[in-house]
Amino acid sequence: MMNCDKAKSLLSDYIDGTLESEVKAEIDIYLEKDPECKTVFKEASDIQGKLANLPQVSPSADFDSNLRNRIINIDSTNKSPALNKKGLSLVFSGTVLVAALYLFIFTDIGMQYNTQEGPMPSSAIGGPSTHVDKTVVASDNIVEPAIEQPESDSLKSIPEKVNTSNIHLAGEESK
Amino acid sequence: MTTINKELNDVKKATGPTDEQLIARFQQGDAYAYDLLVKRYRDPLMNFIFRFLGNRIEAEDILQETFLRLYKNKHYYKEIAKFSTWIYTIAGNLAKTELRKRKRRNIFSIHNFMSTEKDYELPDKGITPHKYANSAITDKEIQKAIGKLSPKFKQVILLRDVQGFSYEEIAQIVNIPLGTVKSRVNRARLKLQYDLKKIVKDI
Repeated sequence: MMNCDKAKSLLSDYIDGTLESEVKAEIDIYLEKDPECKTVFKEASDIQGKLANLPQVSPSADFDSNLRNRIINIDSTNKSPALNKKGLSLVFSGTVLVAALYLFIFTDIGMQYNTQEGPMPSSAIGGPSTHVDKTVVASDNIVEPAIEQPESDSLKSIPEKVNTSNIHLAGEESK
Repeated sequence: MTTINKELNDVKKATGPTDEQLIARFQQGDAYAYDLLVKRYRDPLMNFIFRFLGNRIEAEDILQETFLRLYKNKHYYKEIAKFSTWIYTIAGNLAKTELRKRKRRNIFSIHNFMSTEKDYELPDKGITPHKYANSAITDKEIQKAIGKLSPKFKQVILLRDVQGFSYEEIAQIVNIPLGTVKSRVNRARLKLQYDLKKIVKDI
């Protein structure tokens, strides 16, 4: 037995026209008896027709250019890590090379020189050398270096051994 | 067949290759094929997303994101599905996510405790109490009724009645059984009829 709820459950099939003819006829007969239910069917059918003919909404004029820009950004973002890696490896290699050159040119690393025969390392020129020639082992026999005496006129310390007549200072006339 | 799908078919006929051929070409690196796919689906997808969200700016953002996903994830497309169902799945999922975000924003928005924007909307002066009976419902009222549907009903009714997809295609897009699609479309149509009647009466 048809009623409004049962008819409503078949509303879509009714609107789409996919009901069997017998079932459709049964609903049509029922709707004639139930004007309220008939109104629901009519309105739902009208709405379905209106939905199909709603005005088309289009994207704005700059949609394509905005999309293109975003794609370019994606592409550049995807490529940049590879470039960065390559760039970083180049920079790293360059830095290592420069550092190695610096060490070989300006330091005595890698240079086996002999103080008797070889050249003076550049690091020793013009300043105290940090080079350690050999390992010093702590020992009781270590002789403390002599305390450096302040500079003084050695002639004054032994005046009796000095014949001052043989000494001619610059600017003095010979006697 | 709806106007939108007719337009889509016209574009396809004019350009020749099928969607599936184009995506295959794009997967092999043909950027022109991507442009053609964008050209084909730009308007119908915009319409679908706009009807889903009811906001033009948000709809355009989602449309951009949909095409970006297509660009980035082209290799995820497998030929077992139609391209149209695949792209509508992406767009529908993004639109639903946007609705969820909007819902969260509304929950934490102070405006939620005050009158909503809808309360300030001025009624259309052309509307009369007999308008519904005269079948003169405006597009704005229809959009308002669509907006009142829950996302799951909204998605199927838009795909069916606005975009013109078959029930089988909708089942693929939404990834639910065919029976569930039919049931949802039926309930959505009834709900839309009920809500529109109420909207027209309230005005």
